[in-house]
Amino acid sequence: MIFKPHEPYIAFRWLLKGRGQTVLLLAGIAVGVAVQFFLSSLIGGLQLSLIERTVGSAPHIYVLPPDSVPTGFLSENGQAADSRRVPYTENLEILSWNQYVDYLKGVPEVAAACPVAGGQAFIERGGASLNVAVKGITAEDGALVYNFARNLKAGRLDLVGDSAVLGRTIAEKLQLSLGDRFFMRNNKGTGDFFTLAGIFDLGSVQANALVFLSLDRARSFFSLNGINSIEVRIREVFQAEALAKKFRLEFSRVKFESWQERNQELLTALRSQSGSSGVIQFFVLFAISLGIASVLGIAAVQKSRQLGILKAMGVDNRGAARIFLIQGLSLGLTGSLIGIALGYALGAAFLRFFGTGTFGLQLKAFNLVTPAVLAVLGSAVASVIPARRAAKLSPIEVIRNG
Amino acid sequence: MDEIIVVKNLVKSFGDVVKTEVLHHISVAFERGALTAIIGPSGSGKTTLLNIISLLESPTSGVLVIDGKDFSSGEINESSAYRNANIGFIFQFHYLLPEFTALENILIPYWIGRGRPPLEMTEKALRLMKEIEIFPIKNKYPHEISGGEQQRVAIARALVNEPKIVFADEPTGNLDRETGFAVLDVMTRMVRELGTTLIMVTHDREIALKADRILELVDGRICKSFVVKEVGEGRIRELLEDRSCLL
Repeated sequence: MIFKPHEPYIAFRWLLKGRGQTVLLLAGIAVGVAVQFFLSSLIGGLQLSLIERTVGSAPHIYVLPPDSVPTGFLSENGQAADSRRVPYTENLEILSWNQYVDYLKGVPEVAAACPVAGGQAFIERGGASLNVAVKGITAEDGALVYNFARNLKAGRLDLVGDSAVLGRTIAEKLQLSLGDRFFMRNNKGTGDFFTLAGIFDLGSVQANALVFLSLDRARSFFSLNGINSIEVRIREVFQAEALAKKFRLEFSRVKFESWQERNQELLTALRSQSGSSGVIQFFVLFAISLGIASVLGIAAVQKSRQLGILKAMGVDNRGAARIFLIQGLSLGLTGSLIGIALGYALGAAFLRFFGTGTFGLQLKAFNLVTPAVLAVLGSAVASVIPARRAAKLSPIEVIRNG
Repeated sequence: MDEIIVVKNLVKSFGDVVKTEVLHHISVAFERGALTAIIGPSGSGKTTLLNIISLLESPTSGVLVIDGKDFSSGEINESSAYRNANIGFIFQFHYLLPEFTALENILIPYWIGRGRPPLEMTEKALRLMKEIEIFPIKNKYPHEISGGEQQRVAIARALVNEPKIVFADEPTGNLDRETGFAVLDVMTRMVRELGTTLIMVTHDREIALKADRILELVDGRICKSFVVKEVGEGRIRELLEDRSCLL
């Protein structure tokens, strides 16, 4: 047995009899754990929500044509190049896209790979003109990449012929309803009529300014020989960069961009948020530990007389120390349990009274267990100081000095 | 004579740089089952001697054998288990744990040595409380009872584990004379009934007459030894040995 029976017996009785002090200590630990739990759940929820908004209904990896590379101003024979010639090569299309799509669809980590052809266009209606981004997709793959099962708010993803699916922003601005026809002009000035087959909401104004057509219709609309990109959705969102790195090693003629690469600022913000949250949580824990150490330290002084007589009656140095360790551990454990309940209540109240409904609390086991374990450990460490004092106490000094 | 404690050439000094010797080469033996009083003026070293032979303090040098076990160089902490099983303490101040009731205080030595007391042990403690007339206060906390009752609880606590030896340091020093003698009567009656060895430090010669033997300590030396005899209704002491240490 780790403890001898009399040690918890004495430790708990001292805690129970010092009720006011014990309640204050428990309250301190509980509030600390609740704050840690609430904070980590809230930040976790917020981060999840931000990531979900960023990539929840968007591709995780983009396969793009390589960047344009400037050509030299001197020709091979050392003569100056004709300045009227465009000094770079254009690589706006992926021509042999089928092989990439087939390969990507065979990778186990990939959930969907959708070829995309598109460009900028204007929708003109009743004298109004709106700049939109057009994407031609294959309906089956696009539905997975853009999660249309959830995000299609009206109509169907019926991408055949001149059917188009529009974002909510465009539909509202141009007062378009399902079945309405509208004129869309491409960047070369030519245009055509399309029929509104569905309306989606991808969660952001930018994404809701998209127009989806069938892949073939978009290619003919923009006069493309190939496609502009392949958009990939993977099963584990945070594996995107690692997978992109792996693909880069395998294919040199196309470029792979992960969502992390495209959202460096967001990731930096998330990291900073996690870092600052960690610092706050550390200091909360530190404050709790200091509180316990000081209160138990005072208790060890207050109980010197009792400890002295207990030692005279046969409690050894380690036994005396263990009484305070038990107190620290049980305070930490009880305080943590109360703190978790309090944290839940705090979270629920927050969401009810201040919540925007746009993000929730990330109530995962890690957020639950970590502050509790840290508080128990902190309490145990804090009780070492009074425990050492108790261990060193000489019974004879107590008896001699009364 | 069956000796339970044997002390030979025992020296105790305090201080690291300047050493002050408070016990000078003491040699004495304590009889098993007997009541011995150690008397002497303040500062004579009687409490220090008691603390050493009760294993609360280490001697600087000399031999200390308790019930055949050598504790001459014993570390205090290592003696904890022995103290718990074989020694009972009664101090001038009761030192009861204020968070525990009278009955719980009495059972504390059992908790320390053997864990949760079984029902028979609790019944035994209650019988002890009846014998020393504190049964009605069994569920009261130390601050709820009188000084005499507190000291009786301390006596019961010292006896509950049926120790071989009970050490008492001025056990009535904190009580008024009448209460003190009542407590003393209880203590001596109980140790005699149980056949326990009692070694008691007191500065009161009248209290010392309750013992079977009296040792007089002066300036860290045992100067005289008396045996106590009953004469009629009273008790008188008779000089057994005079070491004339003051000369």
